[in-house]
Amino acid sequence: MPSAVEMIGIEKRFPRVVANHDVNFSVEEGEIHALVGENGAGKSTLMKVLYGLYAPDGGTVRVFGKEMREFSPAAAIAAGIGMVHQHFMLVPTLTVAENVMLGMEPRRGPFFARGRAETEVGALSEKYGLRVDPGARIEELSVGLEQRVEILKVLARGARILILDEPTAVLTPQEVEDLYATLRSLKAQGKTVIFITHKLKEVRAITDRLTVLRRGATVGTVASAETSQEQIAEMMVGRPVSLRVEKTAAMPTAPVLEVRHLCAEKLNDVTLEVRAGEILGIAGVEGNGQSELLECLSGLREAESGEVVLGGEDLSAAGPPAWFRAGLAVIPEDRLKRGLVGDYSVADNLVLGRHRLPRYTSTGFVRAGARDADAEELIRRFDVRPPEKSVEARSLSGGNQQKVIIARELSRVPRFLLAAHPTRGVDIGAIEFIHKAIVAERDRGVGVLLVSAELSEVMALSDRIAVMYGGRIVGVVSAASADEKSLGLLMAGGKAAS
Amino acid sequence: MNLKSLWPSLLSRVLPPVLAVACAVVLGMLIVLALRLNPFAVASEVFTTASMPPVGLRDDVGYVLAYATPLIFSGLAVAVAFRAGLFNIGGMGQIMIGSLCCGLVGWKLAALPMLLLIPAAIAVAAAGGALWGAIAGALKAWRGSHEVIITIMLNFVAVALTDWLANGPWKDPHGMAAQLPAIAPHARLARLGTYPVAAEGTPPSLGLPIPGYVPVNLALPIALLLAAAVWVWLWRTTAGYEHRAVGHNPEASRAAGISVKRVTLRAMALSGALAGISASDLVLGYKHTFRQDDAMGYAGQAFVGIAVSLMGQNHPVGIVFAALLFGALQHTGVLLKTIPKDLILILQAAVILFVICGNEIFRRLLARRVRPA
Repeated sequence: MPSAVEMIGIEKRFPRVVANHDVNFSVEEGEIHALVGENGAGKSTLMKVLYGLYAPDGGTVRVFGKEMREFSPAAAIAAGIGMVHQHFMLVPTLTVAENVMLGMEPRRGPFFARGRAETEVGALSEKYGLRVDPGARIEELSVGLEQRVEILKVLARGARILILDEPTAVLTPQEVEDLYATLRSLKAQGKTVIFITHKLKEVRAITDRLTVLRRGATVGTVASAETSQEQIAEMMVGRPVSLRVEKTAAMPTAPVLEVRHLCAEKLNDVTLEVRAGEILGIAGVEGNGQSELLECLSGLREAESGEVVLGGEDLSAAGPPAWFRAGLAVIPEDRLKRGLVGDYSVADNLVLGRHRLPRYTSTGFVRAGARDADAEELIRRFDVRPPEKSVEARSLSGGNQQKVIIARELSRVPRFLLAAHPTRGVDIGAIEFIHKAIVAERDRGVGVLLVSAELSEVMALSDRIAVMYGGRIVGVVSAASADEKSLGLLMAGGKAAS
Repeated sequence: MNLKSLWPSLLSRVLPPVLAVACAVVLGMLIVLALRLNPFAVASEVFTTASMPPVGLRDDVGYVLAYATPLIFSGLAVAVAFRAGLFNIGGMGQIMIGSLCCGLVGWKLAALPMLLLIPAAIAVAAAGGALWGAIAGALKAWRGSHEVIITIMLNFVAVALTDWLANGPWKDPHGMAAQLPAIAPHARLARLGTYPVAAEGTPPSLGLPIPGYVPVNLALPIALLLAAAVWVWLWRTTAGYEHRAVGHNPEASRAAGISVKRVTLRAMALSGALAGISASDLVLGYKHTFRQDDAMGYAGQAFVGIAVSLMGQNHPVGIVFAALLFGALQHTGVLLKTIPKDLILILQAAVILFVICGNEIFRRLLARRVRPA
């Protein structure tokens, strides 16, 4: 029996970049196969070649043993390939059935046969266990359900091979479980799934085999169950990577940040304290007031009542400039929304917020020499790639954007660091770097408040862990004595055991 | 930055407008063909009319520059607001208020010597325009009112206000229309051209080989200086850095400690001031008084300034070239004989449409070729 997909010696060049070089990739029918690699490793390019969005510059593509001669999505769909994009392509005001049938609507005369469309989509969702109401409007659905509709869309077009591009990036843990169940049921019915990701945990949880790409070339294909996370990480990055955070015991001193009875939107009587030289982690399911707390602690939101004191100064009604003067540095939740001006160069972003310092301005004019010299120095120290101060920040990978932000914020020499999801959407190699930088700040005597959606990150980095639920701090435990189960219980609103 | 990396960025900026103009020209020719006329014959007729003796093309060059002058001012005004993420379509009102202020100073402060009077008139015109823009800026910054709505409304307020003042308290007792008394003779800006005989009452002139009756005047070099100043301010000063940062990403700017409110207010005030300085052309260089109906016709050109800024990619250099192109289009309209002058309006609209579409199409083509992932 031929393989479902065979890509041999694939070559794809862009001006100035070789995205795929002699890539070999093969997937057996009926398996769930992960395609992993860091951002920019060439995963998406390879899949776009398979789906016909790009024509390769060299190499052969065979689907179920038949060589692809024409590269277009239409040809790929005809060959039985379907792609679920990372960013969904659905019409929000139309119903599930209308979206699934878009472009191949059943008709009665000149009219759209809505009833038949809904029956067909209903039958399809029944067959694959993708439960969703065919008559519901897309805009009423959760992200997890929207993804199901995307999968249905692909199945309705007769796909036997499904490509899913980072499908878990937008899902909650519960929705991830549902997706896994869906994928297992698709596999049971003989479908082949290609799963693009850079999260190691899910690779081992759901896939049969995995292929690693690095810098546009194949590193190898291995059986998922027989390979450890560390081995996969090493294949991806090209050197041994520590997935553990190495740090000594904290030596906290006096409190830097004191929050007392803080009330604001979604925040209900929050009291906490961050001491110099420690990392306080905030664990909690997203949407329990973390975002609002972050805003209150960086001058973007005024407290309704209560006190927020940084370095002895009450800042509960102060704006960002006063917070920065008092010693704040921020790694914001959303890099491109709050952390960077995407259209500005790396050098311009490295002075954002510090551009009024005498070093960077004189008599109203920008001191370009100092700005550029410092940019080069920071790019080198924080290993920003490409090491180019004049490229737009938007064009950098997530990890390098984050490095730019961290470089800028740490050059404030803060006494308090607010780190929100510091490694979200960041490559493994960069995660290690960022964690080290945060621990180094702690060791320098900075108080760090860490908010992360990844419980494992909170547990690995923090010295103490505060759990947030419903806008309150429902418990504070020392990281040494914390375990996932008891934290999970607190995060779900249960009472602390002690 | 080396030449290699400069070239594509320059190309991507210059090529779309050039292609847009080319497409618009083709469209214009098709329209002329649809009128059952030969487009090349029309073009040669325009050229013959333009190059008629005794002055040949010299007055045409002058007129193009004269038409371009207000478009540079209003184009810069739109661009400065746009760079901060704001859309100022109140150039008309700002020019009306600026012109009234200018006419008032030129008339009331006639006792001042020329070297004080002209700068004072221009400064007060700028202040008037700035005030008019700042109203919209303040409402936007502190009340969240949309600047587009506010500036449109302020256009009407400015027309009504200037009409009342020029018809009532400040009306020229000898004038027939709603107008202020003439400005002092020494407040007039010199024309660039030459008068055959310098008669009594003619404005001062510089003596360039352009006929003196063409109203192009020293406001043109003022406009060019302002274009240079806008460039320096936007790209070389710390205030300009904040200004553009807010335009690109107000959220990140606020989080970094930049006062978005202050930048918004300043942006609208500066934008209004640039529009207001247009009065130096209308009042000091051209009409030598504030006459309400003239001012309305002139200030209406501010809407063309939006197109100029767009076509010039909101960049001072681009704006100067775009203003010259639109100035040339307007003058061509005057020269057309056998076909309706509406063709010029159609061409202007076509250029704008092609610029907008062309930019986007070209940008996407480039992005597809360069993006590796």
